[in-house]
Amino acid sequence: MSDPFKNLQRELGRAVDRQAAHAESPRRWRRWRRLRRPSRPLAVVLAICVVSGSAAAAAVVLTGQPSAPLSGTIPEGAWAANALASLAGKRYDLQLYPDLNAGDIGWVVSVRFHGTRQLSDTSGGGFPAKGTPLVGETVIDQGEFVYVLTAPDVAAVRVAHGPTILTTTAARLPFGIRAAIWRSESEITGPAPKLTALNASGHVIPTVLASDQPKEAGAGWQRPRSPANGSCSLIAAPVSGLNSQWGRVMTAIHPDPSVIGRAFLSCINTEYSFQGSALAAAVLLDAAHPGAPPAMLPDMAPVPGRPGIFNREDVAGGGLTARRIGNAWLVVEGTNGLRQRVTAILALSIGPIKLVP
Amino acid sequence: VERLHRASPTAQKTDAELLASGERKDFEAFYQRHVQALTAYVGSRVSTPDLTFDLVAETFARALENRTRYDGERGPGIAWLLGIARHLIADAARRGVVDTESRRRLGMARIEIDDEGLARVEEWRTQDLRIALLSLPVAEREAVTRHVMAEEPYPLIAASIGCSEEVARKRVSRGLARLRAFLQDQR
Repeated sequence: MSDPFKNLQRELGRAVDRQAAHAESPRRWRRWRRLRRPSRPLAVVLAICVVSGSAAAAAVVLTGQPSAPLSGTIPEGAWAANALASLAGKRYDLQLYPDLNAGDIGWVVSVRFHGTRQLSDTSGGGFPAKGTPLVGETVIDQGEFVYVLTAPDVAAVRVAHGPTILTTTAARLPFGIRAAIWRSESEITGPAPKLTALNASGHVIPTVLASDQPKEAGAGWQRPRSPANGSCSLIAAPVSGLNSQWGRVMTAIHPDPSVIGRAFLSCINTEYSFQGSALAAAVLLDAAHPGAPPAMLPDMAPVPGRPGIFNREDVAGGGLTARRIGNAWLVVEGTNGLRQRVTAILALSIGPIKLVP
Repeated sequence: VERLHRASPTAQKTDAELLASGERKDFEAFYQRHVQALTAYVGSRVSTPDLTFDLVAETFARALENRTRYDGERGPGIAWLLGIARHLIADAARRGVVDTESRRRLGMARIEIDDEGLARVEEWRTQDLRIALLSLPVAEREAVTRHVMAEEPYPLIAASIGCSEEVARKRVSRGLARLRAFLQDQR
């Protein structure tokens, strides 16, 4: 008998070995294969972007390849034609939604690929901050789809050994966040290539290299232990049927002055079992000014007949439903439909939020 | 669960240590530690063994890709895995296809499953015990797992965890009672 679990263990083990081999041979991280003929990146026309400077400055011409839009179709390409299953011809759609993990600030990025072979990719994207103008750079399918989110002042992204991509904006990108989306001219088999942020004048926007982000103080817990005490709390109505399973809470809430624009800080997340399925809840604060009214959550629409409750259905966990309570957002994420999430969000409340004076 | 396997140094490592090392044997130990519980969790939420296995495989592949992001302070490894699985299940439910992106990026070969393999997956996916075990206090979890799942005799359990045989029996008894209550609560 062929044991699938043993086979899976073996395949995972081989993958670990390959990772180790890559780590030991840095030059193999990026394997660039030249094309026999020019590829057709997502945007095929080299564009010239004329960017107006301040009144005192002359207009500056920044040249580059325009970013692909947040929703579109990936064109055919030479190197991908031989891939096992290329994304070429697939429609894609990039979405952002808030990160619900306690202590995290910023955005989760979800990219969906529609078509006969549907894929998706979801990753924590962070947030544009002073000194970190580029966040969440991700390579999908060896470079058939590459994206990065940027701070509002990033006009272009220069790809090492590659093109310069002019950033784009869209209504679904909140708070001035921009994006650069492109298709690599050649296969990428390792990490994303080095990227450099350029402002409208074509000058490099410095990036502060930090190997480790400072960890926010927090405490995790898991049933049968009681939820950990911290700066935030979630309270479920006693007969609601919401059974907390595990979670994390911040034990000190500090403003983050590096935030560019607006961002949300999750101060608690709790996983519940509810009506036979899993459901996550979180409390989001304004990241730069906890205790101040947080901005409107992006892409949320009012729920008809439920004043003060907002919803969106397209997040990776299923749907996201939120209501503002004081100067915080109570957010519920689940897969069993809006009705369940509304029931849950009405059964939950936020306890006192302890801010650092 | 981490304390159940005292025989080898790898088994004594925490989830965070296993994921951080980057060594094959450590990730395999992490896999072995959690694959049954993950399969039971996924199996309770999807309808077929082949879909269950597909989701389990992608969950571990994603865990491998993101192993350096795991933070032991944020919860046990099984909670992290279940969170990954939950997202993948939701994604698959909406689109009708399980994501294979991480396995493709890692260059993992597709694993064919014959009828016997499917039966093995079915056996694990319908086993709620491991999930329920997570609800037990550590001492009871260890005693129950050793006695019920590893079929160790009480004297060996007692000697191993440093208690009397009577205490070991009580822990198993109390743990099984809690398990029954937990499973009833879940239905």
